[in-house]
Amino acid sequence: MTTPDLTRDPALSAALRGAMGDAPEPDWDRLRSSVAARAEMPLARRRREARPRPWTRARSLLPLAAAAGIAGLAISLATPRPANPPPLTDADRRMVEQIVDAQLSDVDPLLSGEAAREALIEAMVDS
Amino acid sequence: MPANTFSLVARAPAPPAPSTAPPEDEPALAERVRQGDAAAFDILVNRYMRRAFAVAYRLMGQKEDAEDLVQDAFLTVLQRIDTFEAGRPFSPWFFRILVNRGLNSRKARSLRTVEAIPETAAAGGPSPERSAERMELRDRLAAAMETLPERQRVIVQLFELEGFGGPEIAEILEISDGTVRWHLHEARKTLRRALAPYERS
Repeated sequence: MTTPDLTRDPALSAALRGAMGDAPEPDWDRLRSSVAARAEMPLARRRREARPRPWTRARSLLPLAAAAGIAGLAISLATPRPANPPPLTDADRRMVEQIVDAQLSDVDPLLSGEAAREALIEAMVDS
Repeated sequence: MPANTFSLVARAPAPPAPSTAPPEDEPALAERVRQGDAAAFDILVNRYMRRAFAVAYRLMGQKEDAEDLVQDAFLTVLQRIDTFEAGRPFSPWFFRILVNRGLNSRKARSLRTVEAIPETAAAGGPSPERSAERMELRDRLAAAMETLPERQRVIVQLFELEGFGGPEIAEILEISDGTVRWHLHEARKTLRRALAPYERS
């Protein structure tokens, strides 16, 4: 295959132009408007696709969150729970009340301001 | 071949200047179009519409079909803009779309390639004898164009009539520069044979 030089041939161009005629002038404004109108929807679609969506990132984390939830549930089921303590007897209740009363009798003078500074320090050290 | 070989044909206006280097803003414009920027799309449409219509008219032969093809090509640009490589010139990519779609439309519709031949050569009031001779020449040349293989015809139209350069045509048709030269050489041989009886001695 030979590759002759690519130079324009003005005579042939003119002859062809004479034979084929020049392209007519369309209504440019109408053609432009027509293209713009038909391009409106595809352009809008592209704008929507290009817009960043905040929930898209959160959605990508959903599988991770689900996996973490399942793992947490499995761990909580696998961990042995302490047995329920036995219910308090009447004697136990009385003992607790006595302890609370005794402690309150120590603290009452402090709260009311009756106790001296030394007593306050003593009480603080004892506690 | 001397420049005045086909002096029977009136000189038509010069074809558009060969395309220049692609404007530097086109990669940015293409990126904006990709994001759906209507203003960027309008700039590209305005920049290429005239030339697109001229090429479309050569391919389709009818004004209405050429208008449809131009619209179709610009919409295809929107569909395929993601495939446009930012580092490449926009023009050959766009005209490849236009030419391919035009050729497909032609095949589908089995259109005539040439409209009624305009009387552009009749200016100056030549004698009836010379007018008849011009008509004959035009018919002969149009018929010779029709006998060319499709690729050769498109190359002649892009090169001789629309002012595209060889490398640009090669990129549009996705063939080598050498193949463009060869097709153009062959097409010219055919056309010159058709015009031989009209050559001045």
